[in-house]
Amino acid sequence: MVIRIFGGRIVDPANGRDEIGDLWIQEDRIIAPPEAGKSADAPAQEFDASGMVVLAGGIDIHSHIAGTNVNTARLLLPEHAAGGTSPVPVGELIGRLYAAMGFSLVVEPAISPHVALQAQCELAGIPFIDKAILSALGNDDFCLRLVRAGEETALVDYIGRTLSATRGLGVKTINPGGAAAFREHATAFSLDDEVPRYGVSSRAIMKALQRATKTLGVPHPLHLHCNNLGLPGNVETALATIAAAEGERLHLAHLQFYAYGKEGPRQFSSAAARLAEAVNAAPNITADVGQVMFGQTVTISLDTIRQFNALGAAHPRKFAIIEAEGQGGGIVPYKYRRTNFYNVVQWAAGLELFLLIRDPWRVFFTTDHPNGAPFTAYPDLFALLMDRDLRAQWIAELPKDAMEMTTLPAITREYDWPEIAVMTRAAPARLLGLADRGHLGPGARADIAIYRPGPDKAAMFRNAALVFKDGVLIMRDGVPLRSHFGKALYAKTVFDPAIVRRLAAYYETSFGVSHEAFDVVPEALEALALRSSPPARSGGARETPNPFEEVPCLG
Amino acid sequence: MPEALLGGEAALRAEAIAAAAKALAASRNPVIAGLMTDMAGAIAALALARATGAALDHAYAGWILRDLDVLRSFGGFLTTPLQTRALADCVLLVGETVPDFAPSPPTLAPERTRTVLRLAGAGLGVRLGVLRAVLAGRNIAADAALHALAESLRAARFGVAVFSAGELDALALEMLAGLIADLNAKTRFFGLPMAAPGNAVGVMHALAAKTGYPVRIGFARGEAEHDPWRFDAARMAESGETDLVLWIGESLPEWAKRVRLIALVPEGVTLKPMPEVVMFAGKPGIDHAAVLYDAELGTLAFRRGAGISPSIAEILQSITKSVQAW
Repeated sequence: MVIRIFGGRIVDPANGRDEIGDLWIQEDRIIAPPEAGKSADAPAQEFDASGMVVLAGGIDIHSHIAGTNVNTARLLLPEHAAGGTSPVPVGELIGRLYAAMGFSLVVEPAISPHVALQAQCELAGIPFIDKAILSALGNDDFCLRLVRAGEETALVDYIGRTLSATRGLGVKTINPGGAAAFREHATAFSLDDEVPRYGVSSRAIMKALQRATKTLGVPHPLHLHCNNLGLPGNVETALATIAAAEGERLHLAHLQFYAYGKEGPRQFSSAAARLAEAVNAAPNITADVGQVMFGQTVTISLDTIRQFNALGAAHPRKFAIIEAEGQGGGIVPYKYRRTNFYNVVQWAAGLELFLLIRDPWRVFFTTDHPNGAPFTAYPDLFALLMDRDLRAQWIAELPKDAMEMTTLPAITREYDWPEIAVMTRAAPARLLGLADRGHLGPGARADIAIYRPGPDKAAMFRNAALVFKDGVLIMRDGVPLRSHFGKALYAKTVFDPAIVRRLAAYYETSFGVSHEAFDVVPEALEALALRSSPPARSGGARETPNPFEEVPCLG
Repeated sequence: MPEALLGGEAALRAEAIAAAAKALAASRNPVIAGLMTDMAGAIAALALARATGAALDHAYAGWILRDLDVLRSFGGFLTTPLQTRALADCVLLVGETVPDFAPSPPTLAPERTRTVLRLAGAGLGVRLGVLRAVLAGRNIAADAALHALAESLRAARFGVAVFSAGELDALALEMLAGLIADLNAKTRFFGLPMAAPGNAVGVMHALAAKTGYPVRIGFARGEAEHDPWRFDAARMAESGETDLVLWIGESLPEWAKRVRLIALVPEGVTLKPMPEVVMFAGKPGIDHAAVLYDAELGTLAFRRGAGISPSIAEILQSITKSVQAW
C-alpha cells in the first residue's frame, strides 16, 4: 500500500531537506515520490500535514526501561505504581508514552550479560517502539583478567561473543572497575585508581574496551559511565576522561552528572561551560546529557559505589544494593526539588550542556531515565530548549544562589527544528550505525512523527499529531490506533569461537554452570508468547515474527 | 489419558475451556490462584484476570511478600548464588531449612578461606536482634556463641547470609536485613534469599513488569490494585468472598474444598476434591519450552522442553478468548 503525507514541513537534516513537501511510504519504507502521471502509484491513503512538522521517528540512546534492576525499582515503589505516574512505568505504558511523543527506538543502556534474558523478555513486551540493549562489561572477573593479561584479541572475541549471546547493540562500561573495587570495600574510585586484587586501573579498562569495541567493528563506540558520578569537582574526572580517549571515538553517558565544580559558598557549582568547551574541542566525543527535572524519581544504576554512597539521600528511605557476578546494581529512590540548591544547579548544568555544546550531532537528548527524571518529562525539556522565554520564567522562580553558580541565565540560544531533528533523530541513528533510521530519505524505515506546532511546545511534543511506525499509522494525538510491536536491534558480530571453549572452562570452574545458561535465544521470546497471536499464514501454521533485527558491524 | 475432565469425566480440552470460560464469565469475584507456571503462563493469567476482573495470587505469595516487605519498607543488600560461590569468604546460614554450603575456598578468590556458620533455633528474630546489637557495640546480655558469631561476621571480607522467607518470620527478616546493612559500614555483606518454589520469583517479575506490582493483584475495579490481605486466595475462599477459583498448580490447597474450583494441572495428577473442570497442561520447561526463574543461576533461564504438550499459557489464552466472546 502506498501512502502520501502532503503539505507538511519536512525536516530531514540527514538528507539536507527542510521544506514544505510530500512524503511517500510503501509498506514499511519511505519511497521516492513517483514520477508524475503514473496512475499505478496513486496513494491508497493520504494524510494532510499542512501546518505541521514532519520528522523521522525519535531515538533515545539511553533510557533504563527494562531488566531486573528496573523491575526491582517497580517492586521497591508500589506506592507509586497506581495512576500511571510512576517514575518506572510498566512496559505497556513505556511503549505508548514514547510512541505518543514520536519516538520509535529506545536503547536500554545497562544490561549485565547474566540478566540479559529478563531484559529482552521485558523489551519484547513493550509495544509500538523498537528497542535495544547495551551489554555492560568492565566489572566482570573474566573481562578484568583479560585486561590485566593484556589479551586484547581475546577481549575482542569475548565482547563479540557477549553481544551475540545477549543480543546487545553495543558495549557499555559503568565506572569501569568500580563495582569490582566496591566488592573489596572501596567507596571511592577514580580514573587512575586500581581495582584491588587485579592491579588494573579504571583508565586501563576503559581504554581496552574502547579499542576492543572499535576492533570488533561495533558501530556504536564504547558507551562510558565515568567515575565519580555526582560528586562536587568531578568535572576534572570528565575532562581527564575526554583526554584519555586520545582522539578515538567515545560516548559519555549522562554528562550532566559530571559537570560539577567546587566553587561558591557550598563548594558546589556548575562546571558545564568548561565541560562543553572540552566537548566542542574534541570531535571524537559524543555525549548524552542526563538532564535533571524536578520531581520524584528513582535512581537505577550499575554503579554500586555511587549508589551505596547515595543511600543517605534516599527518598523515600529505602533501597536495593544488588551485588552480582558481572555487575549488579543499586536502586535508590530520590526526589529532585526546586528548592534544593544542589538539584537546581544540576538542572541548570544539564541545560548549559545542551545549549553550549555547539554541534547537535554530538549531544544527545536524555534524562538518563529515570535517574535525572522520568522520560515523561521530555516534552517540558524540549520546550525549555526551544524557548528562552520559558527558560527565563523557570529561572525567575528558582533559587538565585543556585543560579549564580551557573551560566544558564546568560544563554540565549534556542534549538530550532533542524537541530532537534539532528539531536534526536539523525545523530543517534548515525551513532548507533542504523542506516535506515533517523532520516526520511528513500529506503528509510517509515518511522515518522508529525507534530502540530502551537504555543504550548510541551503539549506538542507530548502527543504528536500522527505517528507512523514501520509504515503503519499507530497513533493520532496520543491515542493508539492499533497494536504494533517493533524489533530488538543487535550488532551482528564476528568472533573467533576459540573464546567459547575458554569461557566454557571458566564458567565450569568459577560458577559450576554452563556459559550458555544465560544466552538469549529467540525461542525463549517465542515461548513467552508476549504478543497477541500472530496472523496465521495461508498454510495455517502459526509463525511468530522474529523479534530481532541485525545491525551489521563495520568491516 | 484424557485432555480434560468435566465433572470428573473425560472430556475434550475445548469443552473444558468453554466450561471454564463460561464459569469465569459468570463469576462475581473470581481468583486465579496457585499460579505455579512459567513467565508466559503468568502473563496469560494476567490477561485473563484483566478480562474477568479476577484477583491473582500465588501459592507462595506469603514467602515472596515476606521478602518483599522488608525490601519495600527498609531496603536490602542482596547477592546471587553464583557470586556467593565465587567470592564469599563467610557464609552465614540462617534457619533450619537453608541447605549446607561447601566450605571450599571461593572460586574467584581462592587465596581466601571460607567460613560457613549457621544460626538456627527458636526465637531467631530476637537472636538476630541481639546479634545486631552486639555488632553495633551495644551493651547487651548475649551468650558467647553470639559474640563469637559477631567476630566471624566482622572478619568477613565478602560475607553472605543465606536465608529463607519460607521459614523466617517478618521480625527475623527485618533484623537480618538491618544487620547486613550495619555490616556494610565496615565490610561487604549481602543477603541471599532462597527462591520460593513454583517459579514464584519469575511470576513476580512477569507481573511487576506489566502492572508494577508483585502477586496478590486484583482487577475488580478494572485497574490493577495490589493488596496482600484483600487478594489472598485462601482468605477469599475461607470467607466466601470469592465464588470461583481457577487453580494453577499441582496438588490442591487445603482450602480448595470450600470453594467452586477449576484446575489447570499437569497430566496424571489426581485431585481431591474433584474440581468442576480440570484441564491438563504440560510441565513448563519439561514438556514444553519455557522461561523460568532458575534458583541455581539466580536469574531467568530458558528451558527448551520436549515440545509435546500444550502449555498453561496456551490454555489460559484460549480461555481468555472464550471469555471475551461471552
